[in-house]
Amino acid sequence: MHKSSGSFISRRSVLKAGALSAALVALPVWSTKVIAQATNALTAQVGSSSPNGLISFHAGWMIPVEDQKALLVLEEKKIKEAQASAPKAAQNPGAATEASKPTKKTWTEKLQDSWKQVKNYF
Amino acid sequence: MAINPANNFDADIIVIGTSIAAQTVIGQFKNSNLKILVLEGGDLEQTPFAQSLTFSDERGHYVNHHWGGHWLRSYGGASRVWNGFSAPLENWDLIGIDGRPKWPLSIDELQKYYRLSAPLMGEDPSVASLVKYNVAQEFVDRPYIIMDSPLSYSDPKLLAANKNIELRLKHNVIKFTADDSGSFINGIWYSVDGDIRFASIKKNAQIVLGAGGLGNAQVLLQPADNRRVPVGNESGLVGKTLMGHPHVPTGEAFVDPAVLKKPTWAQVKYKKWLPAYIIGADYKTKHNLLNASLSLTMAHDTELSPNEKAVKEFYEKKWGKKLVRQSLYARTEQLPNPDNRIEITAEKNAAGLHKLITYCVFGARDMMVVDTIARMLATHWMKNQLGVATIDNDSIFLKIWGWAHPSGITRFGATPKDSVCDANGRVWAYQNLYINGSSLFPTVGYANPTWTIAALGMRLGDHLTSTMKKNA
Repeated sequence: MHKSSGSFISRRSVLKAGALSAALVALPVWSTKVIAQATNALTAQVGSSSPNGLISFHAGWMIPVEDQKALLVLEEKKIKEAQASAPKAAQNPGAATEASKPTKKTWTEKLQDSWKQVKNYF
Repeated sequence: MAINPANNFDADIIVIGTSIAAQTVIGQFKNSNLKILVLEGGDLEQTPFAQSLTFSDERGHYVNHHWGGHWLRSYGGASRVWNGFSAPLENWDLIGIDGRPKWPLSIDELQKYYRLSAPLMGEDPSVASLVKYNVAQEFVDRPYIIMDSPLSYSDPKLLAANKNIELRLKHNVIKFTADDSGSFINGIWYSVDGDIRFASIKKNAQIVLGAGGLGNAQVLLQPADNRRVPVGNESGLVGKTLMGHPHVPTGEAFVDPAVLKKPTWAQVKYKKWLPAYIIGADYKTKHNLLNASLSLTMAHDTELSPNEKAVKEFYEKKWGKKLVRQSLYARTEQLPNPDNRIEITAEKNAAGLHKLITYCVFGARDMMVVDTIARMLATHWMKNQLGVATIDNDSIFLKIWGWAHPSGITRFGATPKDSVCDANGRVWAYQNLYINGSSLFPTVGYANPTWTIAALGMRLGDHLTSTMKKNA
């Protein structure tokens, strides 16, 4: 075995450096592959609970992929309708219903409301 | 009511507690020739003193006075105020599948007592037929039965009408003492308004501990006076595998009204009920699930968002039928995990019992089952043009909470090695100490435990009747 001293570079250290560089170059390629494999496995797993190929549409609706396009178009239409009716409501603030107004409730009333909500879960 | 500072309890059966766990046992001995003494820790109504005894140091997912807030120390206990949405357990819950502990009784026996106990809660005995269903089905419409609240058992006058029954309020049982043989309970430490007393009991007197899911274990964990092991915790399992019921809203749905119709597969005379779906037993095993249900309730009457309007309109047009807006809510089984437990602290409460500390967290499987059942049901509805549903992952994984049905911490089983009590709820080491309550449950199913507690109480009453006859 060589003894390292001063500026002496051994053949072994050159080989070590080479192997390390190769590993560093290969790591991103290898890791991407591993991550992709894991992702695929996960996707397959998720897919298994939705065997009919359902996907999650906006707000989490579970729908078949073939319905997505038409739903997007319809949703866009509904958004525009909502936007069109919004300024009218703003121009006529008196039309706001009692229910939409903030209410001043006592602490006891709030507690009773919470209790009613909790009781619904029994 | 006058307090009698007796130093012995001259009764044939001493029942600790007045909740449904205790009352169903007492009910079997009304107007019998046996003397029954009933010790209730609370008063007729809730008092600050009694409620202070329910506080525990809570760790994990169940916090903010979660356990104590559902524990009422007054006459009638928690079942006086509510019974909740009830559903019977099923065979799959009892058979020890997937490494879970096995129940030491059959579903047929349990069904018999479900039938007998249903009328106590204002229901028709036919609701017990929900126990058995076609296990090969992927989805079963198995509704919740909404049982009466408050219970008829909550009126102390009904007890007082029986000459053989004596009720003592504000008597907090602390712990038991055992005789030299170590196989009979011979005395009870208790306190009245913080004044600690001791009473010996008659030889062959039977004791029924029905002091609540947490209360039962708390008594059996109190340090003994002259021995290393607390009386009742010879198994070392008291306080282990604490379980509740994880609850979580899973999303919303637009469904065909047919989904909400009364199920007809069981011969049930429904009174008050709530539509709910479970996964059939075969599918539960196939998908490595726990037991869980998804119930449907009318969604809040708020205006639909553009997204909701689009989804509703699209599928109503596609399927040619009107859809109804519903909210989906999951109630699920919690896996028995020995790390979820109760212990006692060095500090004592005002009644002289060492205080409780509770550790209880949801496992990944507890939450994954909610996600899986919600996805499976959404897929099933879409495939059969019955509805379209959302999966709210934020709610399922980040906002999961639960209901305090403390179970598993004095569980019964087939052998002393893996359980605190035998099949009748008798603490293995003692011939005269019985327990009733959700603390006996080795697994919890997905529903409120009240009905099962009532069924087990009536079963224990029958067992004690035959035991007392043999001893007479």
